[in-house]
Amino acid sequence: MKILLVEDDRETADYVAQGLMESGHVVDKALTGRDGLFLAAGESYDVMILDRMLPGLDGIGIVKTIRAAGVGTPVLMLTTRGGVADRVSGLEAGADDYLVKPFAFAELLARVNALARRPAVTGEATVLRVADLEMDLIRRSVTRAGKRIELQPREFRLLEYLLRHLDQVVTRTMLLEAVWDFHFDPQTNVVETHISRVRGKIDRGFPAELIHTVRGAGYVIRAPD
Amino acid sequence: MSSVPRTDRLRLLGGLVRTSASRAGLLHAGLTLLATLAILGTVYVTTAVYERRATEDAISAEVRAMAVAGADGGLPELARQLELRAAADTTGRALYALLDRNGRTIAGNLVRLEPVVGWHSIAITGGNHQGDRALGFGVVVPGGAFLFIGRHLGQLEELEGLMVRAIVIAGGVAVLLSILGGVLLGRSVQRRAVEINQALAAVAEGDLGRRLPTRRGGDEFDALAAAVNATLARLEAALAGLHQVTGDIAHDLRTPLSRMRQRLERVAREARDDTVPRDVVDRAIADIDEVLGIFAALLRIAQIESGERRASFSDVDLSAALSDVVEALTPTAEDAGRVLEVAIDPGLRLRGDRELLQQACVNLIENAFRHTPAGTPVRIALARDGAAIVVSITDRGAGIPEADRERVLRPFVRLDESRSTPGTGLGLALVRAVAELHGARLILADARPGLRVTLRFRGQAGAASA
Repeated sequence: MKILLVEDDRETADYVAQGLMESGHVVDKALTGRDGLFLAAGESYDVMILDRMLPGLDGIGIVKTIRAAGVGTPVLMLTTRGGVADRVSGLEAGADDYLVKPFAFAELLARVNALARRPAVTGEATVLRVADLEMDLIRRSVTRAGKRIELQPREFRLLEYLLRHLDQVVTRTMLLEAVWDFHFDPQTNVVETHISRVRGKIDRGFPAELIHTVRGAGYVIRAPD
Repeated sequence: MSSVPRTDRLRLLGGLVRTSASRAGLLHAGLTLLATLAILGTVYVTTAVYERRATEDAISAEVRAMAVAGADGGLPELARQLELRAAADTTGRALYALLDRNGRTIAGNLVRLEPVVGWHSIAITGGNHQGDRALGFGVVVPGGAFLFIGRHLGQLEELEGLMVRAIVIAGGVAVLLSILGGVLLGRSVQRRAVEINQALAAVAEGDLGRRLPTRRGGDEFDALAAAVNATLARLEAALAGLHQVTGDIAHDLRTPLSRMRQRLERVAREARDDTVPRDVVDRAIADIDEVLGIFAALLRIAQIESGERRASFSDVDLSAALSDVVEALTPTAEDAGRVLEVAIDPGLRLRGDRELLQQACVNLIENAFRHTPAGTPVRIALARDGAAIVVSITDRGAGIPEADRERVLRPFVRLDESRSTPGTGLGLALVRAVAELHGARLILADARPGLRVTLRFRGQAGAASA
């Protein structure tokens, strides 16, 4: 993937860029909002990562400008405070997701992957599948190997989110936001306990596990090799 | 502040009697009445004295004239003159009597009279003015006869009556006007006091940008409001400075910590062999995350305390928000063998910040989980109590000693001295900040046994019509 990174802190920029490159991506770096806008408007990217606070033209200004120019590239906004006002203003300006600094690199990578692959997966599919697991979004039913599985509403949403991000790592925070709409971090293992319940229902008793834990990052659902 | 809400208007009328302004109004009315009485009394006395002196002068003049007549023409001439004068009097006020030395009436219009020499007042006997008072002068004329010339005092008494009526009417009007003035003054003072109270209540709830209303009049209230506003401006500036400093410190410490974290992640990422102990690096990253988490929590509490999130308040379905929280935490509770006793009344709404309200509820329920033994139940209730909306979380643990209940609401205070239970000691501090932001009361009470934490949101008029 080709990624644009606009970040004024040189060390953070290097760290993020190097990590992305090690994960197999191509990265263009810009240290100022003006350079960033020049690249964003001129080149074609799969994802853009914009720092919200930049000297001169800030991340919000860049998003507004490129959206006005008809550029629909997914944008991940990096914010420092993550207050509701910051989050809302970023999303309203046209950003697709936000991430509060400081962040774990795994979190950034998971979100970048989710953003880049979003259009391909989110289409109008009414049935989501992995291996012998099937989720019918219209009948709200789940089966594995033809056997019906009963899920609680929140468990259904959790599994749906995993399936929509098939083969992608999703983090605890992404799940908290998407499944529960919690934009804060409970001390309780809300995600872990729910994942464990869903696993108990869809994986237990079957020869191959579908939901995997990725150490230090999150969870992924994928077909067995 | 253009209109006073209905409840305040009711309070305004009820409180009118008690207010200092009303008392001042009544005092004013009393003093006005006294002043009116004093003025009218003075007018009465002055007029009466003038009238009396004029009467005396007239009597003296007549006595002198009669004395001359008596000296020139003797008793018969005196009697003739007296009859002439009595007949000539059209006012009916003039009184004459001439008695012989035996006390028999020779001439005049007085039927009976005690012969007393000099100035004196008499009660008229007989005639039209029976019983009325009169003033006169008695003198013994040459030849032994007694001459009395007097004036009926009816006019003075009439004046007296007029004066009393004037005092009653004018005094009554003065008292009514004073009371009306007092009421109007009281209402205006009361209204301004209500305005000032409302503004200060808003400030106390954290709206530090609020200022007392001032008017162009420049009266004592405006002087007071200006002084209070100047104080508030300083307070706001000082607190803004404090928030700025807190923010700067947290930000300045966060930047190097973030870089340290980045470098450690890089070390972990690039360590392809066993030259670097991965678990040590991971533990170091976890430690940094803990510190960063504390900074984040502190910044969040500071942000909540600044009240700026009030700007993004919206209509929140608290019943739904709390139900979501309970649902999210239920598997954790069940895994610990706990029963969650949930009694959430549906459809309870208030104006607030949904995210913060949920976080506060999560913190309270997690606190109950953390500080009570596994297997004990936790009761979560949401109900309306009068105009208020009340959230309560009740556990069956050891509770908190009464002396410590206020203390645990402060940042970093943990009753577990060894700090062996997980947690930063910021959970309840955040709940308290959220409660204050919403004008709610946070109450820690003994549930016998256990702890009951209550969040009591005051009735919010128009909360549903956001």
